Amino acid sequence: MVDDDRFRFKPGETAREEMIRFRTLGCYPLSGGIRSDAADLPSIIMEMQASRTSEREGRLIDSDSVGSMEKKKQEGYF
Amino acid sequence: MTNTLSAAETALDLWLAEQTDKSLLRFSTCGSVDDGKSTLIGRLLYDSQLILDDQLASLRKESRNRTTGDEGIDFSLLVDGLTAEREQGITIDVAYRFFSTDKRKFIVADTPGHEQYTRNMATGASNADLAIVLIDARKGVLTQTAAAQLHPEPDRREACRAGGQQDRPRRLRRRRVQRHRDRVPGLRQGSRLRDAGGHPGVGAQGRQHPRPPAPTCPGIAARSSCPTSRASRSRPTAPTSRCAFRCSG
Repeated sequence: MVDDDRFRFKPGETAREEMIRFRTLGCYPLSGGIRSDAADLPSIIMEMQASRTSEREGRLIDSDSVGSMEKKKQEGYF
Repeated sequence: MTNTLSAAETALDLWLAEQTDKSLLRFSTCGSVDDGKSTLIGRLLYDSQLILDDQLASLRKESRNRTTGDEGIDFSLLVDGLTAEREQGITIDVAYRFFSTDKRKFIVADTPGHEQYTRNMATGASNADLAIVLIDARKGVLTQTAAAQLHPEPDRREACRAGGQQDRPRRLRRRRVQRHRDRVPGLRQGSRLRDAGGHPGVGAQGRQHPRPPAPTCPGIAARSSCPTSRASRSRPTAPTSRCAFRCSG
């Protein structure tokens, strides 16, 4: 999701409007949302039940290196 | 708009009622080092289609350059997540996984087998109703296997014995393999665990591993309207298209 100029575009990319939902709240712009039309709690819950991905899927921080989260914890980030 | 709202609410109410009725079983693995406890739990989660697509993709990537079964996956990585555990190929701390099937909810605690981590094993086993005692088919009952069974808890605990490493017969003399394949050794004398049966043949290759039926999808009424089902029909061999639920219609 594009919110300010910290989000960097690749050549040729432009922003467009879509309905999205954030399953996880992390640092911007390192956390991605998912395409979703769920607009109330029952719909969100049923969407989660049918989901085939975990809520961590949108977290870029998880895969920046091997043992990424563990290293950061040891370095005192959490 | 109103119709869509009540469909989701109705589906949610039904699903919540189903969940409330399910009993919870807490179980743990125990046994000696390298007998296959973590691989067993990883395999169980995989066979029950409980691994999510992004988790499976990470797992395949992380399984490169490791010992794997036919699927090219090291199932122990599902519960051994610490860098030290992966580097050494052992379990150091207890890993808890939560999952449910049609009938029941489960919490599994995968515990270490190394003698120096016995404290962690005891923590993992402390809340368990059932212990799965793993016995390496190549080695039989070892010190830690026996130690795990002498858990100082009330008699309500049950133990289920499972044979591990059944897919590696070459190092053993023929007769010994036969003995351990057909009969999982009994619980140690003096153990206060109640024996719930022996199950030979589990682990990396998934042989003799029961595959429970997938739970029914609570949200989608008809197969034809489900996007996941449509995707899997167009690419039947792609695992990422597989839905965890059975279509109800």
